[in-house]
Amino acid sequence: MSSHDPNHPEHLQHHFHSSIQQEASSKLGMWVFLAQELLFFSGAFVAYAAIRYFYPDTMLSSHEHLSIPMGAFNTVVLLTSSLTMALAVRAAQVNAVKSLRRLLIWTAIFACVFMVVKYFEYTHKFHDGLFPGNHFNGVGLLSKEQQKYVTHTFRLKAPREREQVFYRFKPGYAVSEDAIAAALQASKMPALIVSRANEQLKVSKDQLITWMAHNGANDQLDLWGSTAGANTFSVLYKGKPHVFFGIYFAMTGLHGLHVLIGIFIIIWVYRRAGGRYLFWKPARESEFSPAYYTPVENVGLYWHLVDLIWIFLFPLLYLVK
Amino acid sequence: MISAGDKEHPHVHVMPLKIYFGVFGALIALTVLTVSVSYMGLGVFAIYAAMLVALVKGGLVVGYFMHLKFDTKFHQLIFFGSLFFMTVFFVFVFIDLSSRARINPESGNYALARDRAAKALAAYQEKQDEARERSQKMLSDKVTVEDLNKAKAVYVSRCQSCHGPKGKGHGPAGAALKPPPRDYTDLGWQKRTSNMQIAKVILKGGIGTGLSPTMPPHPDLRPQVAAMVAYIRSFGGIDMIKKPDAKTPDAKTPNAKTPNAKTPAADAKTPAADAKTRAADAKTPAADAKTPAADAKTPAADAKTPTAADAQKPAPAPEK
Repeated sequence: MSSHDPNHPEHLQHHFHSSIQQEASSKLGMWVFLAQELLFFSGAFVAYAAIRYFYPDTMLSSHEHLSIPMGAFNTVVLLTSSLTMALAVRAAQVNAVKSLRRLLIWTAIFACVFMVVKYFEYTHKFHDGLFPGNHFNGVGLLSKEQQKYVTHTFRLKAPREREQVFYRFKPGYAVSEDAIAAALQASKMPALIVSRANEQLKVSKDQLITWMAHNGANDQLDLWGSTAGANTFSVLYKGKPHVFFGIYFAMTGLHGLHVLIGIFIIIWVYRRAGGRYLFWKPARESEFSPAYYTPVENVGLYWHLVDLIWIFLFPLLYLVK
Repeated sequence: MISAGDKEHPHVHVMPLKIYFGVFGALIALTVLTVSVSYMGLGVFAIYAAMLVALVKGGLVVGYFMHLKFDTKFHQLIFFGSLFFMTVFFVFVFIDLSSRARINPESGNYALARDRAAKALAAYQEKQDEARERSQKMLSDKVTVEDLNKAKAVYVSRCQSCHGPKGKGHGPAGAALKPPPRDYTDLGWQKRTSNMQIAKVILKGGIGTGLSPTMPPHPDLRPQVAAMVAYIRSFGGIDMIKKPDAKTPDAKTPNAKTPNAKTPAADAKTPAADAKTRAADAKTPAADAKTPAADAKTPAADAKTPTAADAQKPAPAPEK
C-alpha cells in the first residue's frame, strides 16, 4: 500500500476499493446525515407550528421584539457565505487551490459575522429580560427610570399566576400603574397591569412570604407586612411571550450551534487545503485535487443545510405579522 | 477497474460561474421579496406567501449550491425521502391540532376557544342589556314626568322637613334626630340600595324595616311609590326615566334631574307611556298608541275581554 502506487492514492483508505467507492460512500453518509438533520429540525418546526396554533397572539405580539433589519442582514450574510462555499467547492473541482483557500476563509468570516449579529440580538433580549419560560421577566421593557428602582422580579409557581410577572420596586419609590403601562406600551409589548400588591392581587401574603424566605430576603418581610408591598406590581403579559422566547431560543440556538460547528469544520477544511489558520504554522501542500475533494464538498453540503434551515427560520420567527 | 475511475473523476460536474451568481442574485431578490411581502399585511395568507418564497429559496440552495439537481438518484431519494417523512410528521400533527377542539373545547384549538368565548360574552352582554332595558322600560312605564312632579310635591309636603330640600338629611326637623335622616346624595348608599328597599321604607316606615323609628310609614303612597323612589334616586344623580344607553348621569346635582331639566329623550317616551296607561284604564283600543311595545301589551291586558279583537285592529294605524 505504497502512497506512490497510482492505484492507491494517498487519500484512498485501505478499506475502499477505489476513490469512486470512497467518495460515493462518503457522500452517501453525508446525505443520510443531512436527512437526519432535516428530521431533527422538523421537530422544532412542528413545535413552532403547535405553539403558533395554540397561541396565535403569541407570535403576533412577541415578534415585535425581533429586529427585522438584523434578521434580514443575517439572511444576506448567510446566503453570501453559501455562495462563497459553493464557489469554494467549484474551486476545488477546477484545482484552483488559492481561491479555494480564500473562499473558505471568506465563508468562515461570514459565519463569524452571523454569530456576531446573533450575539447582539441575544444580548439585547437578555437585557430586556426576554427569557424563555419561567425566566421571563421583561424588566428591560420598563422605563429606564423604573429599571433603576426595580429590586426584584419574580413569578409565582401556582399555575394560574404563572403568567404574571411581579416587579418589586425600592421602598418609597411610588410607581403609578399608568407609568408602567406607558413604559410597556412604548416597548410594544402588550400587557395588562394587574394590580399593586396591596390591592386586589390574587397573591396571598403566605405566598409572598414563602417567596421572600426562599430568596433570602427576610429582612424585608416587615416591609411586606406593614406597607403590604405598595411598591410591587404584577404585570400580565398578553400573548405568552415566555412561550415565544422559549421556541425562539430553542430554534435559533440550535441553528447557531450548527453555525458555530460550521466555523470549526470550515477552518479544518481550510487547513487541509494547505491554509495557515495560525500565522506561525507552516503552510502545507493542499490535500485536495479534482480527483479528491470530498471533505470540501461534504462541509459545503453541511453549510448549505445550515443556510437552508435559516431560510425557513427567518420568515417564521421574524416576519410573522 | 480500480485505476479507471481515479484518472478521470466521473462525478465532477463543474457548473459555470454565472449559474452560481445567478442563483445568488435570485436568493437575494427573494429575500427582499419576502421581507417586503411581510409588510403588506396579508393577514392569514402572509405565512403561506412567506413559506412559498422560502420553499423556492430552499429549492435553489439544494438544487444548485448542493448540486442535488446533478447528483445521483440515490442521494435525491434520500433527500426527498426525508422530506416525505417530515411531511408525514407535519400532517399528523396538524390533524391532531385541528381536531382537538372537537373533542375537548377547553384545551383544544385556542382560536376556536377564543371565538366561542367571544360569542358567549356577546350573548351574555346582550342578555344583560335586554334585562336592563326591560327594567328601565318597566320603570318608565310607571314613572312619567308628571308623576315625578307629583312625587316632588309629596316630598316637599311630607319629607322635606326632615330629609331636607336637597335630600341630604339636613331638614330643620331632622337635625336633632338620631340616627340622622338618610343622606340621599350618598352615591354609595344609592348604589347598594335597591328600589324595592327604598319603596319598603317609604311604605312601612323605619319600624317596619328595622331602621330609625322616627321614619313614619306612608301606606297611602302605595299607588305612587315608584315615582317617590324615582325622585329619591334623582338626588343621587340617577335618572330612572332616561333611556338605558345613558349609563352615567350627565349631571350630578339633583336640580338637573328635576322635571324642568328633562331631556327630549325622556319627553319623547312620555306620550307612549301615557297612551298605555289610558288604554289599560279605560279598556279601549289604544288608537293613539305611539310605540309597538305599548301596542303589544294592550291585547295581552285585554285578552279576556271581548274588545280584544277591536284593540288589535287600530294598532297598525300609526305606522301607516
